[in-house]
Amino acid sequence: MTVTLAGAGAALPERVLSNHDFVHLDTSDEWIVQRTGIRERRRLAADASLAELATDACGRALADSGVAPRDIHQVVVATSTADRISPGMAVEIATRLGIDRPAAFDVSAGCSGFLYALDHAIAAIESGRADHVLVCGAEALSRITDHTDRNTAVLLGDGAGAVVVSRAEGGLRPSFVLGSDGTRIDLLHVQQDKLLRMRGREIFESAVDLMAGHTELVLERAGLGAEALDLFVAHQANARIIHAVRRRLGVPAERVFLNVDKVANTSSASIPLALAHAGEQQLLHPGAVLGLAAFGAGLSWGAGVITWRSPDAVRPDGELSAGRGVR
Amino acid sequence: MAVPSRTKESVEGFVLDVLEKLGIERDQITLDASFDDLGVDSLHVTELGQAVNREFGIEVHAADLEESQSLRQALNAIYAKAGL
Repeated sequence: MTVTLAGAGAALPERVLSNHDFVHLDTSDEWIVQRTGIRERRRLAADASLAELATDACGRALADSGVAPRDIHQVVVATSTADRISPGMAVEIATRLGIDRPAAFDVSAGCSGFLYALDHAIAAIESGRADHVLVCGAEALSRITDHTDRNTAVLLGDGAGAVVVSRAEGGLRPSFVLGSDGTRIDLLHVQQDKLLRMRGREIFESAVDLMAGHTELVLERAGLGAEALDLFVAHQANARIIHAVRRRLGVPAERVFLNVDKVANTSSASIPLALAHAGEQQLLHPGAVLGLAAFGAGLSWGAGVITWRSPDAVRPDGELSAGRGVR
Repeated sequence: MAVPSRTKESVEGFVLDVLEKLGIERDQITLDASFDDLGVDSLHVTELGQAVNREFGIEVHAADLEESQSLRQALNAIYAKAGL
């Protein structure tokens, strides 16, 4: 028995903000692209529901996986910007999707939140508590953005992504590591004024060290080298960070997925959004070995290796997983 | 893996290699060319410091190289941290 990602889905708000929408902050398209790789980001309407957006992403992930809502045993949502403080969005999403009374809760671990939620899902399946777990990352970072601060306003976007995590036969056993260090809370935090503050250059330094070091660790534990990665999907905070990590790991550029140019930093939504977009671009195939890495407020971090479906996966409807829009 | 000897020559040679890997044209790099003219920005400098740290065990961080505007200034900051 192993655990794989069985499907992924994405949902983005319609409104697009380009870099030119930030020139009033005394910045420029050239500066933003050069330092971050970001060209545009999405913005959820002030009165819109993040749970609705997240439900769309989750519904698409379910459809992509072929797993029926009734077979989902747990729903876990990583977010720091939920519509309400309690209950968690997971409960509302499960009900909207017709998932019958699952264990459902939210996780808050900054931009690493999705990997924390995914690690929980894997453990739940490995321990026999669940066969299929829906894991979502959803953020409306515009709710905690200081729209007058050029150092952060240009970096952040809204969006939702989701994956279905499933028990499977064959393929690689997932290898994950998570961690945190509360001595560095001041580098990146959201205080009671509800606005995100960060110290960019120090974050860059820590992010590269943490993501590269822990990806090396999970690869070593899995008995793999970096060359075994079919696709490296890191938290999409900044293209420069991802390229620095890639150089440290020795992963060629063509095996690194980037969508930060289109969506900016969507915190815990970033990795599932990237996985869904990679799937749409036909970059995932059954048995593909994925390297995942994230860092964020805490500081918190996580890294993992997991396969995209098992090489011989048969979906519940009897169709081979390879038949669903993936090579 | 053995730590390479910490000499000014070995550090300078390594730094040049790193800048090239970061996409900076080697034949444009001189000790006093400004980082601005070379297209070396603060994130390149941060990555450079991390690479030096790993290669030589010299504890040089972003803040130590913050004021460096040229290769000579960056190298002097690194030498100072390494006691060279």
